[in-house]
Amino acid sequence: MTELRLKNFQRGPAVRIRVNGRVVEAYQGETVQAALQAAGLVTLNRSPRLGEKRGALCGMGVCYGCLVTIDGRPNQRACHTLVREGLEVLLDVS
Amino acid sequence: MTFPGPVTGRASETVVIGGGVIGASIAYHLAQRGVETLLLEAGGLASGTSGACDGMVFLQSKKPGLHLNLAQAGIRSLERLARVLPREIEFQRSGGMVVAFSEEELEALARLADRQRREGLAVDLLDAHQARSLEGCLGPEVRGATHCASDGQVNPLALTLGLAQGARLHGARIHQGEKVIALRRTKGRIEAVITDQAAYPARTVINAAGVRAPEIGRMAGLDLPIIPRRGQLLVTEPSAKLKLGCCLISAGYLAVKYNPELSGKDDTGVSIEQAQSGSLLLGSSREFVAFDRRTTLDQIKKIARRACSLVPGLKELNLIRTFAGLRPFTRDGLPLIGPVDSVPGFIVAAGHEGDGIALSAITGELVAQLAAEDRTGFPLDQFAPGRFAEAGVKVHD
Amino acid sequence: MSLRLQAAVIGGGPAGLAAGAELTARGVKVAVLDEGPYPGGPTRHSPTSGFAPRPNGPVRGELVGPLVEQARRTGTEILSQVQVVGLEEDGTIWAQQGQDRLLELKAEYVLFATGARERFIPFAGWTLPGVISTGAAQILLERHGILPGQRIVVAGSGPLPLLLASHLAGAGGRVAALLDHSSWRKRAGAIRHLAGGRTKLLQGLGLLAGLLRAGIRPRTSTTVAAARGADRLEEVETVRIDGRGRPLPGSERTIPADCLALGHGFSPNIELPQLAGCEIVHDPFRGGWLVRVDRTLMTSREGFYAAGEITGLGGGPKSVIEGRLAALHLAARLGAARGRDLDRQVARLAGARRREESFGRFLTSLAAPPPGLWDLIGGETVICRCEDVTLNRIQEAVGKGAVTLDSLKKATRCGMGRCQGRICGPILAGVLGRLVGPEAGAAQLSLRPPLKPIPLSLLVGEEPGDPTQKQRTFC
Repeated sequence: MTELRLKNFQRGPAVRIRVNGRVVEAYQGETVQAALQAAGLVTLNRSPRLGEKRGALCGMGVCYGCLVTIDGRPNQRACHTLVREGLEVLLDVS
Repeated sequence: MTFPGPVTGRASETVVIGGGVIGASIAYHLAQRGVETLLLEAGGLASGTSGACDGMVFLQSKKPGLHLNLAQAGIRSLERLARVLPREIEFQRSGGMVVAFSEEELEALARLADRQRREGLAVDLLDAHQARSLEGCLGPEVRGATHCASDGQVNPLALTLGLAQGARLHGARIHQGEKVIALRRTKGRIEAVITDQAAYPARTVINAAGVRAPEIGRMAGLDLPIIPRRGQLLVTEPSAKLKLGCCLISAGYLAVKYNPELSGKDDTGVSIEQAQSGSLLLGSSREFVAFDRRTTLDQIKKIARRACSLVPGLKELNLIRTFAGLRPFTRDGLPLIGPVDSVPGFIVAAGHEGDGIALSAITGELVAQLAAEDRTGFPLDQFAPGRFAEAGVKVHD
Repeated sequence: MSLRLQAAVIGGGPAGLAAGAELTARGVKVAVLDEGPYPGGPTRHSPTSGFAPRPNGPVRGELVGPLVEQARRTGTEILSQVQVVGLEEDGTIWAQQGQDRLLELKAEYVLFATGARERFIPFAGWTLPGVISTGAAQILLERHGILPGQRIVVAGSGPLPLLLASHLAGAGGRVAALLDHSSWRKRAGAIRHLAGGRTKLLQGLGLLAGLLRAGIRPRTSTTVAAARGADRLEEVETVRIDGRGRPLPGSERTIPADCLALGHGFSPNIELPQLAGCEIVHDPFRGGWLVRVDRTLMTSREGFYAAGEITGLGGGPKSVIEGRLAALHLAARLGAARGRDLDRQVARLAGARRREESFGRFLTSLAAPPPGLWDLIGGETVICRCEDVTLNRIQEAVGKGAVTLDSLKKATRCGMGRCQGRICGPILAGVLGRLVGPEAGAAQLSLRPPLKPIPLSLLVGEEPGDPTQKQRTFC
């Protein structure tokens, strides 16, 4: 696996977020979706009726494909939420 | 006068005007009897009131007496339809609860329950504790409730579309996007229905146009006292956590329903229903604003507030949509069902306000019987279109 | 919480930022309400910029950075994470601010600058995780310095897929294939719209040359037949198509990939102006449904203006010009701009706007999919992702007479979910256009607030305090 984060890119200070309890690398100014993507986590939820695994599509707040549970609140758009220290993400794709 | 379009119908046809749940039910029941039926809908099926309402089938909310008896017959008919229609209509006897927020409301509910029990409706009076043990999601402000296990719910869209589908299977023709513009009369009797596309000779014409029924009535020289009353509804996202056991309405909802002068004041009427999709429907305002189908922040807030005090768990959900429907209101809260003496061959079936879904099946049965046999198995005098003596049905040519 | 303003600008992309800065500089009390987590809109590039891996520094040829900079200099008030969801008859705008606040505000004038969203033509497997829009890929790359995958297939038409592929390659990403469903002939045909746009044409050719140097040869007349994978994207099946979009049997190829970026063109975000009662018009050569504006960029509703993609797709520079132009007209009405200087600026911007409009037509006709692509959609393919409605169910409903968007919605639940038809609406219009006819394809879903989901709790409690305090962003 190649690292998806570009090496020569200026990032904000590192913050610690947890995804299903596991620490995931993230930097201030990033969206939750970006941090998840960098960690290779693209399967974010299941579709309501068919139960298919789904992830982000538009990346800009329109499609609601990237819904995850953030700090206990279900159905939050990962692409429209910025990371912050201690943020907890829950992906329910079991 | 010349009429547009060719005469395309068959002389023996019965024409139903209106493709909402009432018109679709009438068409279904007519076709089932083998009557040649044409349903004309100006927009699309369920594009009006029937596509913009909740699906609660409450017996407790009906006026004790003939109205309640009609509803009791109506829910049995719905139950039967759920088995025979060619489409799942999501009918279930989920039970219903009328919730009181004060001792006064609870006393009023107790009196109502007494009268309902005398009509043979099994209604239980519950204190706050009993109510909450039956419906765990009720909030702390609830003082008590009445519960009726016979109350139910149905998907109104699926019901309307299912009835139309069933009507087609029995041979009815359904024309959508065809607007009735005139009724041709000879010596008072209606001979043909003229639309923006064609003319149809008609044996019987049934006005099931809901809030638009007065427009059709005027084409036959009648003033039908039906007024649109807007109901705004809120839809939440499907909830994985919040599961309602039954449909809920507040006691204030009943007060507003039967006392239109209360509407617009800061009343406490609210209804909550969980659809099979898991979404919750929160309703509803009752406003007289002509044909305006917009939703307003002011009412959205009121409904949200009341719904959240009834079921606090709603606060964790997202509101995903709102919509508004125009309920066909009549002054005495009862629908207009029956023939009109002054216009032979013309039957009215409209003005059900918020009871259209609950009464759709029975209205269809009765009107089909009336059109086919000129009599009904249920007394319709209380619902006679001409009952508003002083200002009601007027004939003017 | 309520707020009163002289002007409210809705949308903080290129048009909104340009308008906000212009108005602020002229002393107008204005706020730019932006839904996104940072001002500037989703992407930072202009179609001509190269990729530079610096999130905060300037990027060569970049459009948004200087606009944000200008807004900062002028002290323009930008309220980020404010999602406008309703507009009342009396002009009250209501919005969700941050997580929990209901913001109600009134402004003498409103400028809609709500931009555009990407549109999609579905195929089997387009709902798999790893299948994203070119915009999503651009945001990851430019905003966050993150590659959208290990092996990336870029597909679609128009300049954005080219640009994305070039940026990905420039950043060291592995572009496994670049597919373009239009042909060289069609591209040559589109050039007639490019009146006086020689510079842009040269820039486009330069982009192409760069791609070839990076070893990426666009496969023209090729589209995605299917995306496959167990839990996420694993491979993309491609197929060559003829001029009308019909597949050529035997031309299928399978490419391993963990990311497929789709660039099928754009749809203007007209929902809010539409809710406000502004007249909309349909023009397939400028993006479909658009807000009709007059010479001064005022909509059909007095006091309500529109700028940017919603008046006709045209790209960033057109949006900036329209933002400024609308701001000048608005400022003139508020008495904050007048005289010969104003007339000269208006005339200059109006001329530039005409040139950019012709570029917009060029881009839109480039990106237009061949009609046959709609016929490639399989029956089991999901059309409405929110409600999992397949094409089969839509065809069945159409067969039963549900031939308008609203009746289809009622019959199938298509468009009833969280995105409120923003993704499936344009798809449904395309499908209906093929199944029923162009008239049905040009229909619109009816709209009610909230235009996007909001927490119910927002509507229940009144929170005291000044809404500009908590979420204020002087960029």
